[in-house]
Parts: sequence; structure tokens; C-alpha cells
Amino acid sequence: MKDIYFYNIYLYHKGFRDVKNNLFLSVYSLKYSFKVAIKYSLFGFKTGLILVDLHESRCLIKFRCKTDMKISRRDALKSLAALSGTLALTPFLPIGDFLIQSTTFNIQRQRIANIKDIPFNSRLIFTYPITGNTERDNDPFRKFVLIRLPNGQFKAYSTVCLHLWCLVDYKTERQQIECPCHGSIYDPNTGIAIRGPAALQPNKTLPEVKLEIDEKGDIYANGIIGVIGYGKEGSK
Amino acid sequence: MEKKGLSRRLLNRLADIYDWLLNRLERTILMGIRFVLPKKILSPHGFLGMLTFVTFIILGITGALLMFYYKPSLTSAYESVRLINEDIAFGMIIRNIHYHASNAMIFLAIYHMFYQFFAGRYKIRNEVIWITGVILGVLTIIEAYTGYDLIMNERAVLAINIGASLTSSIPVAGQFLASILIGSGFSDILIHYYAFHVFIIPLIMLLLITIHFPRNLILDMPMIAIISGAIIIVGGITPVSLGTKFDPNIPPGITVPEWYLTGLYAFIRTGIDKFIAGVLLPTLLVIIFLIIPFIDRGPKLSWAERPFATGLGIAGLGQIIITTVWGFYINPDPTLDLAERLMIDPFLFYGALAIITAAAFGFTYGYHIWVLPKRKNYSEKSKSNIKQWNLKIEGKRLLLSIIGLLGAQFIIDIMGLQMYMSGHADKAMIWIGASLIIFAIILHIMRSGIEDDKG
Ligand code: FES
Repeated sequence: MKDIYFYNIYLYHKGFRDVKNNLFLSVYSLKYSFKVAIKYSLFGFKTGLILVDLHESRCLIKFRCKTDMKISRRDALKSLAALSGTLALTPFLPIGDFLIQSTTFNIQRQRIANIKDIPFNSRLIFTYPITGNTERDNDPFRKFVLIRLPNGQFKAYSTVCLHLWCLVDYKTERQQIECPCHGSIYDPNTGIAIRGPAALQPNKTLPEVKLEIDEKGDIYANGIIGVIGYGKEGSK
Repeated sequence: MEKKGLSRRLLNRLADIYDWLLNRLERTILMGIRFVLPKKILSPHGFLGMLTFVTFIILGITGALLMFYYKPSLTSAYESVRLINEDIAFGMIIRNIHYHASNAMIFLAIYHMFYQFFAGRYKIRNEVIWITGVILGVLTIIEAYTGYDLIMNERAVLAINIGASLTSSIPVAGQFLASILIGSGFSDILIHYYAFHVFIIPLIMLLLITIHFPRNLILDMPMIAIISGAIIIVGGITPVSLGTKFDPNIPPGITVPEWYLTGLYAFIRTGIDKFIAGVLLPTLLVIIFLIIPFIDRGPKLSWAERPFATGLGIAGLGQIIITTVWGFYINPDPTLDLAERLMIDPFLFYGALAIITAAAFGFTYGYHIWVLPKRKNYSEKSKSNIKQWNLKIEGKRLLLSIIGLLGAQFIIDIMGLQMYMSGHADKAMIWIGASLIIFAIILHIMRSGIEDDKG
């Protein structure tokens, strides 16, 4: 209760225009009708006072007090404790790194198949880069489709659709790459989406695997152009 | 007095223990809640929230049991679910109850929300209860989504991919959040979803439920038994399948998500930007429901007196139904181009949504302006949320009907057991559920009998 005398009180309540006269009234009524006065405090400085009538359990009048800039001994001690608390929590700040484990794609030269095994207008799903760990190697994000176009050329793309990451496949009947989720269609010659929602996006070219064919006819994958799920032109 | 029979003394002892326990329980938080055990049949509209909570408990129990065998790994998840479904005793029943209870929980939560919405129950100092309820509803759907993703069938894999990429499409924080979700690849996504599904989301839900609970809880035991029985019967009639196992070397075919996500699926298929369709629009819907108590602030509770809120509610409900049903439709003609089959014509789709919205507001305002004033006997009084029906069974026939029902229940239990023994776990579930429903009827007869004694 004494706090009211300590601070220069301004009333912001509509009903109390005459600050000086009503101040006494409020204090007076405080003594007799209201049970509790709760102090607002912000970083240890008193900034306000709120009157609560316990019988009705509702707030009656809100006071705003001018901040008392004189730091009392009590406030100083509180601030020091708050500082110590902050220091105790600081070491936990980089905990966010715990949540992230980054993908490591070791780009390697890897044999996929021999040209003799792949007829014209067909496809083969392969894993790249193979790690030897079955969990990793079954990852749909590491699956690529090797396509032998009807003209005999070879192309290899990521199977992750650029729209919402469903898995695309080369359909030999229609000679195009199709996504079963929302119907994006990609041109197998270029990997560019020609119809469906992926075609409307800024990044619409499937990431491509660099292919090398040696004199024995073995097809090798050697690197990926683009980012899986974000496209050839996409960046993470 | 000393010659009281043994049974009498035992009963007294039990009563003492009960008293002792009750005395101690008074110290706990439980005593802050007032449990109301209704004495008559009540309309379940008044306690749909309690029924939703009951399904939550059923899900907790069955889910904990499933954790004994489920393996959250890319290579063995599907096999472990198959093991539960086919080899482990009662596994198929437990998994079925878990699945159908999840559907029931979502349905009941949405039903509960709309009932409270139209009754204007978010007013009268219920704002905090309302907001926690809306958040709980969203969490329920996310919880169900993370659950069906764990099976690792084709539908699960596509749903996981879409969820992860939608996360990455959020501006600013999206790619960071997605990288948390994805970790070092797909097997990490699966185990992260598992952590969310079995621990993180249920824990948050439990905390919110404690805030969401009103002081008075209606515990209508017969209705709780009926809901549990109905879930099991539906599980027996339409047992959940395993789905096609996802094979990373065979990209899946057309796959429709679970029914609570087909609405989103429809939006995405209209070809608009994925972030708008998959994140922004649903968030907007949730925000509208969150802030409605602060928009509709009048003292009126009746739906007819609140044309704006009622119009909004009917429009929302209509849009949810239209988009959900539309999401299921895929042009069955396989000769057509895939892009064409899956595309939803945006003019038709958004046109339908605009029409239902206009119709909803037209109806409510029309009713408010023209019909309402003409209803002379219309009373301002808001009706009580709880309606009572009378369905009494007279004194003499009471005992007889209980005995008859017990006999029927006995036979039903045996039928269920026989079905289970002969390898028809799904058919056994129908009998198990029926037994629960008879239990519900007996509970009701019991309470009306007790009421008769008092009266
Ligand atoms: S994810 Fe391929 S079209 Fe949407």
C-alpha cells in the first residue's frame, strides 16, 4: 500500500480525470474496499499498479506509475540475479544445431548399367550415390531414373517431383515423365516440366545426373546438376 | 453387534478404504473438476468434447500397445506393421481400433467444434476454452497425419514427401524447418515423425486438454460405451488394410490421401501455388476460427440472432464438405493424359466455393431479416445446451430385461470368441463391439432403476 505514496501516479482510467483529487479518494477506498494491490514490475523497475477487488475477482482501476529511476538495493540485487540466469542459459543457445543433421552426398563415379541391358524406350531406377547402408540406399531422395529415349540417347534425372516431392516415373507408353500426385508431366529429353503444377513454378527442370559411357558400353553416373527437390536451377 | 458376518465386516472395511481414499484425493487437482453423471439420456451434443477425449484415451492405450512391435525404420516399418496385422495375436484388432478411433476422434472433434460454434458457446467467458479447442483440433489432424505416415506404404511415403516439401515452401523459416524434419534423409524423417506421433504432439495435447476441460465434466458412461463399441464395430465392418508396400525402385501410382486431407489435396490440384494451397489457406481457416470470439462479441447466443457468425459457420462447413468430397474424385478414364485426369478446374472449384459462401450468408441474413421477426413466439432465452429425453423402463420389467440382455451378451461374447478362433478377427470385432453396446444399454437401465428407487 505504501507504494502509492512513493510514486507519482497518473490515472489513465476514463472515470478519473482529476488526478490530484481522486488520488486521495482511491487510496481511501483502497483502504476500505479493496484487498490487494499488485505491482507491475519490468526488469525490477516499478512501472504500474493494479487494484484488484478480491470479492469480485476483477481488475478495477489501472494505475500507471512513472518509472522510478533510482535503483534501490533490492532492484539491483534482482538485476544481478537476472543476469546470472541469462548467463546460465546462454550455453544452451546453440542447441538448435542438435536438430539439424545435414545431408552428405559424396559425389562419386559409379557404374549403373551397360547399354546392352537397356532397350530403346525403357527406364531403370537406380540409387546414387550408393553408400552400402540399406537405410540410406532405400531413401527415395537418392533414387534416379535412367531413361533410354526412343532415339537411343541416355538421360538420368532425380525421381523427386519439383512440385511437392512425390516420386516421378518414365512412362514408356506415352514417352514422358509423369508424377502420380498432381499430374506434373516432364519432357524426358530435357527434364523440363511441360504440364501440371510443376510447369507453373519458376524452378521446373529436374536435377540431372551427369552420365559417362566408356568404350565397353558401361554407363557411369558422375555428379548431379541441381538440387534434389528444388530443380536444376534451384538452390537450397 | 460383534456377530456381524464376515461379508458384512469385509464390506465395512472396503467402505473405510474408500472413505480414506476420497479424503486424500481431496488434496489433489482432481477435486477441482466436478464430474456430472447424468441420470437420464442426454443429447450427446452437450458432451461431444468428452467423447472426443474418450477416443484420445483409446488411441493412447492402443498406440502404446502398437509400440511394442512397430519399428520406425525405412526398411522394416512396413514389415513390422504387417507382423502386427497378420501374425501377432489381437494385433489386427488393436491396429484396427487405433485406426478407426483416430478417424472417430477427428470426426468428433470437428462435430464438437461446429456444434459449439453454432450454439455461440465461445462467448460467456469461454474464449480460452475455445482457442485451446481449435488448437487441439489442428493438432489432432497433424497427429493423425504423422500416424498414417508411419506405415511406409505408398500412401505414407507420398504423404511424407508432400508434408516435408510443404514445410520447405514456407517463406523465410521453411527451409530451415524442413531441414530439421529431413535430417540426413528419408529414414530420419520417419523417426522424426515417430517422435512427434508418439510423444511430442500427444504431450502438448494433454497439456492443452487440461486447460480445455471445463469445471463441469459430463461423464455419460452409457454413451462412452456406445462410442467405444461403435468404433470397434466399424473396424470390423471396414477393416483397415495395409496398403501397397512402398518399393523405392517402383514409383507409386495415383494415391489419394486420408479423408481429412483430401480437402487440401483438392486445393493443390487446382494448380495454384503450393504454399498458398497447402499452407496459407488452411492456416487462414484456422485463424478465422481462432479469432471469431473477438469478432462476434454481442450478447446473443442463438444462431438466428448472429447472422454473420452463422453464415461464416455454414460457409466453412460447406467448403470443408465440398473440398473433401472433390479431393476424392479423379477422372477414371485411363486413356486421358495424367495431368488432365488430376487437374481440378479452378473456375469450377472456386466458383462452387464462392456460391456456397454466398448461399450461406444469403440464407442466414435472409432468415434474420425476414423470417425471424415474424416468428411471434420466438423467445430470446437461449436454450440449455443439454437436452433431456425420457426413455424409462418400468420397475418390474427392469430386472427381467437386464437378465435377458446379460444372456444375449454372453452369447455374443461366445460368438466373438468363436469368430476369433476361426481366424476371422474382423468379424470378431463386430461381436466385441456389440457386447459393449449391450453393456451401454444395461448401464442405462441400471441408472434409470436407481432413479426409480429414489423417486
Ligand atoms: S508432387 Fe508431382 S505433381 Fe505434385
